[in-house]
Amino acid sequence: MTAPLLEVADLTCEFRDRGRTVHALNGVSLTVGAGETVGLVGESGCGKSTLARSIVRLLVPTSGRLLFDGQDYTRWGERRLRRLRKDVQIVFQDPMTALNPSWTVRRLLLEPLVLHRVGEPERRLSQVLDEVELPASVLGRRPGQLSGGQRQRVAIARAIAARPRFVVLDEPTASVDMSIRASLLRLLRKLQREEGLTYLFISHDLSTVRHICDRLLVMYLGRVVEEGRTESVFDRPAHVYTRVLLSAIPVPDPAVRRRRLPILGEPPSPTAIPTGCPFRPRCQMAAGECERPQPFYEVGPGHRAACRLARVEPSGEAGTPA
Amino acid sequence: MTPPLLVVEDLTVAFEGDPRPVLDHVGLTVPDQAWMGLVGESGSGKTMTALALLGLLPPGARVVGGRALLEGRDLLRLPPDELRRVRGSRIGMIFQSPRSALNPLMTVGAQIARAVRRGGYERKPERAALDLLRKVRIPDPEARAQAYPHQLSGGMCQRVLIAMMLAVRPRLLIADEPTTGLDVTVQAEILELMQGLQRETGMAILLVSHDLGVIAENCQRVAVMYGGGVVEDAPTDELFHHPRHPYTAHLMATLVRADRPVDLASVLPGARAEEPPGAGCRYAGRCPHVEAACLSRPVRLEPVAPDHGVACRRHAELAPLSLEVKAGTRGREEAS
Repeated sequence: MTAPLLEVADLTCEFRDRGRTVHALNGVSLTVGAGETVGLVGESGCGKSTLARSIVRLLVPTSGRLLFDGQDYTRWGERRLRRLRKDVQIVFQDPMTALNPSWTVRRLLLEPLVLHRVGEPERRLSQVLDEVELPASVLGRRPGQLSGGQRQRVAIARAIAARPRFVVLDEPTASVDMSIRASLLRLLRKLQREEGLTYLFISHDLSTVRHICDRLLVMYLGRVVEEGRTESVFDRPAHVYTRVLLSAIPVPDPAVRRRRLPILGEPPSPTAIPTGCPFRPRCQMAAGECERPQPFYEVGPGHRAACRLARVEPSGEAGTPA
Repeated sequence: MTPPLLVVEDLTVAFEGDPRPVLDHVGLTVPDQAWMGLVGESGSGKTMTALALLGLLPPGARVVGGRALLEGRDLLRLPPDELRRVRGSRIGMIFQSPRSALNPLMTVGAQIARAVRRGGYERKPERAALDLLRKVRIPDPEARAQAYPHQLSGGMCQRVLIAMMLAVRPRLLIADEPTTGLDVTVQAEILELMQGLQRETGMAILLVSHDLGVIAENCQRVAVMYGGGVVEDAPTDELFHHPRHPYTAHLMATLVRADRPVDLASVLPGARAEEPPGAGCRYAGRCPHVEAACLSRPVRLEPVAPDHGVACRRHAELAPLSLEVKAGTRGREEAS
């Protein structure tokens, strides 16, 4: 196996907030191979955006390691980070706040080209405009004069302008209308193929994730609780939280009746992390052993979950500690 | 069949100084004691429709035509103080940002108690407020009643508003994107509470949403808006499985859904309507089936079945519309 392009090892991230410690990430490990699209799903407060910001080093993690192409950049300073940022880019959820509203599209797109000293910036500019399927007529406009879909295309163009190798997409389709969503996903996939990009796709929208990701990681309260191939996770969710999450998605077909699995209590607070399985206080299936940290159990090829129900007893077939 | 609760006809709203109306002859029929969905993308006019019914249009916008009959009274022509009485007693409302709908300087318990008093039949509104908090499954209601809105999560605030609706028991609840921005597990719980509320009070719910999943699972009837008008209005099953308007068919074909994959390769480069020149069909700029005649005169909703309306002059010859996206249909670049 070739080395992964991105490796995150046992990452923790803590903040102080009004005298309390917020445990945003509690030992997250993941790898993303070159050319892959890995999805990161979870609900608000699970730490997915903190993880995104740590990976592009807008945040310095509390502990753990970040490696890109084998190089440890966890503690790099600004000067070396600039080199990293030519390769590692991010697209945020809301282009309205991510793009300078007083700049024209031309200036917005030229900035990364100049910053990363891309040769023949004008040529690359018109090329990248083509790649994101925007007409040249938008160059003179400002973000406020574009439609939501166009704005997000500008943000994507800015991210890929200097030809990065890795792009973190933080809820890239959350701000656009349903009829635009599918066309943005198609565009992202086309760009990946043509530019050889690798994606980490962060979303709370499981429908979107299903259509673009090769692999999925499910996060809960600062931890990865399940990971596997997308189809495998959707077909055979193993962690109780994953099952609850999947069962809560409304199905846009009146002929389909789904059964929602219950979830107990209230959304958790990252200031008070329970011992053992983080989902334990809200889990209907919680047992005494869930108070201890749960190992990952293999439930299929490359598919594992940190849930006692993912373990099959000695008499059974699947599920061994991984 | 019971008569509908609310009948909206030809509702037209325009901004001062803008000759083109933002709502153009909107027609809607909300059945009694049922869920009615109103879908459309941003800018299609769904929220504007809700605000017009409530008499809460933004400054500069006004109703220039049409009527909206609720229990025989035209909401669009009620004097302001009478409309205020109708609002909050006959018509309730919940919005996307529940926290901004609550008074930040009052505890949520006191706000529910005020709604109870307004409902007009409780001797001990404070105790009734606690019962209601319990009913919307707010844990530790005694403590939560003393909390201010900013101390509660968005999902919690939405529960408080639902508790207030339980106190007031309106005939019609207008819910504008009530779960947008909430996590899916919280969304599921809020929708379940609303189902309970609807069953218990027998109210009708007009659910404004861009989420076709939420619509499909809750509504018996759906109206689809596009460019300031209703393009199709039908029972939910019909609309999802046998759409008669090309825009509805496009929505169904490009749905990104979790329960099965769609073929992204078949999705055309992004398309956002350029407004058609002149008076024609509002979807003409994006429609794969457009003809010259579609551009020349307005297209209004007309019945294709007793309970199914479509605003397309070619609906008969196009039926049945394919729910697959075909190569060769017109893809226009998005334009703002």
